Amino acid sequence: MAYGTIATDDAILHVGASGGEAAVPFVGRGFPDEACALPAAPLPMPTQTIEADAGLLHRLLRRLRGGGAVRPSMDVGA
Amino acid sequence: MIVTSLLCGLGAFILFLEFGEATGLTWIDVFRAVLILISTLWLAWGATLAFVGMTSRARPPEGVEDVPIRGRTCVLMPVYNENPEESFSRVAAMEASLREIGDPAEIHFAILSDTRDEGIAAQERAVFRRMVEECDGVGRFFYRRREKNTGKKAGNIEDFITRSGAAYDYAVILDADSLMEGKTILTMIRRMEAEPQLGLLQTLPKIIRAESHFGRAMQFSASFFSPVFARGLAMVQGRTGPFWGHNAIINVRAFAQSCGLPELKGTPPFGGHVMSHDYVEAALLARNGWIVRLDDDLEGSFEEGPENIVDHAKRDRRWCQGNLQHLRIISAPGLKPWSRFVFAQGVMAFIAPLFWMGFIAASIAAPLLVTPPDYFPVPGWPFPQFPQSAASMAISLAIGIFGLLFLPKLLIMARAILSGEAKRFGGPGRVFLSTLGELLLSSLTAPVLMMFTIRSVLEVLMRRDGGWPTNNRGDGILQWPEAFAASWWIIVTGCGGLFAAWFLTPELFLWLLPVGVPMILAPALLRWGSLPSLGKLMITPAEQSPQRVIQLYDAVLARWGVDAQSSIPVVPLRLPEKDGVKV
Repeated sequence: MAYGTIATDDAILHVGASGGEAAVPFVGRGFPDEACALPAAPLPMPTQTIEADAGLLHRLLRRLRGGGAVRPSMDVGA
Repeated sequence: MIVTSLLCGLGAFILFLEFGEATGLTWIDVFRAVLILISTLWLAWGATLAFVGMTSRARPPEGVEDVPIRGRTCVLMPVYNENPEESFSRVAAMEASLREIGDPAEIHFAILSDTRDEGIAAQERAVFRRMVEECDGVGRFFYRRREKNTGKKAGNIEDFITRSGAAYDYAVILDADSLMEGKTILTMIRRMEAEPQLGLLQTLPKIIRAESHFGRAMQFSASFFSPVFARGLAMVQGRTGPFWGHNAIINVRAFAQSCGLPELKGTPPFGGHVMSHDYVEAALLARNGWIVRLDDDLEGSFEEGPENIVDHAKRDRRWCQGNLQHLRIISAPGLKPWSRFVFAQGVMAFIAPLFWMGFIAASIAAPLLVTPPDYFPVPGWPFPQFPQSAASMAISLAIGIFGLLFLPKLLIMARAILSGEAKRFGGPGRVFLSTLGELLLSSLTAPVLMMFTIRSVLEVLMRRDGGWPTNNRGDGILQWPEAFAASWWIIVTGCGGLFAAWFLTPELFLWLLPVGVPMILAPALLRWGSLPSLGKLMITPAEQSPQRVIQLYDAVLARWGVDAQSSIPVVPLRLPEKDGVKV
């Protein structure tokens, strides 16, 4: 996403005082936007399972009936 | 602790059943007894946390100061339509604080913007450029603005991890108003290095820079009382500790492996994106075997708080929806039992006021349903038996509430005075008066906050936005029309309740005044709470001797010409333009 090129001689001026101290005028030297873009270093972040596949009553009944092996409870594919 | 809380709750329950039996037990007596059981249990839980906190000491990990820092760390500041100069000046101050001590970790900083307002986004870029040049930060400071703020803050962090996470071992997660000492950040990194199984380390941030009566009371409470409660919490939670979303450090790989959040089935408020994601992320880290720990011994961690009750209530409204949404997650597979308890605790924090209100309403309405007392219950016995009055019930309740609510804070005050810690808060006399002041203010505001919380819960359940009034001034002061608009319905409820009590239960009328009168005076409380405090009470250590990073923050604000009081630049920023368009 491009935000525009920053010209080297642009000035950003703050003039005024806060608590008796003078603000410092700022004259930017400028640098390309790309220098401050986040480094490209992707890391997978798999979606986790945080909802039960059935309601509380259904799960209780399933347990009482002794249905099936315990399923893995989380996605750890990272 | 659970047993103690249960015993307190059961004690109140049995007491109420006994009162009911004196006049003939009715269903409303049992209903009130159940409500008082739940409410007392909740109060007792908080009190026991304080007692545990008072009787234990933090034990910082030993030998960590010399642990070499090998991992790479990035400090993340997610922002969303914030004042860029205020937010970024905090980043600049933290960088300066690290630079002063040599920054052995060569920490990077990333502003993760989800700002939707184009004007603010343009200011962000301009202020960011200034910050980078002043800090010589090319290659260490990064700025990213997302096109869509999918998943809000959780999605913002996830975007960073999936885009750049492999470049870092640790990430310090902040809020836009967070401020941390460089030394504290380095200590957190060293603790992470020393314990590879540590997935997340949470600090206890203290509130700073509060100006209003309400803000300063919250600030004092956060510095004086909260550490004791947090100590109790840390003792109880152990390796399944909390994450409060900011002022914490994560193991990036652990977080990436464990905390990818899905969209919940269905629509908001219970479906959709996970709102209070921090509690869920802590639970998921623990589920995957990572340690999540609250290191309450760490100083140098700060945040800023709301300056008035309305802003506090708005923030609570968001948290309310997020916490109630946890009802969908509480039965997630594989969670540690303590994680499930924490979710339940978070839900209870917002529905507890409903139980209190239910108890009060049932007490007022009881005479409509109670049968006339039988003065000769024993056949053949000639002497009448008069039932216990409602006043004695109210006295017992008041003593119990006093004990559970006030006693922990009074004991904390006594301990601070006896141990000498009161000096950091202005001395024993100031601490005594500040504690009384805080107790008085919290007693007055409790009924108002209770009403705001009840409204939030009902709005969430009815999927409605109540149209919270906006505060148009940057200084947090509520004008009378704003205060009245926010609370007229509380006045109506308070008047209605007292009116009903006068006619139905005159015995309880006086005992209901501490609840009803603050409700009727709600606009005045809101207004007064938002006004700047001119008194000398509620001093905190950060005010008596500001830490270095706070001084650096003030220096950056002054250099950038930001009026720290109103957060408005003294002169509007003049942005560079290209082809007539601000860049």
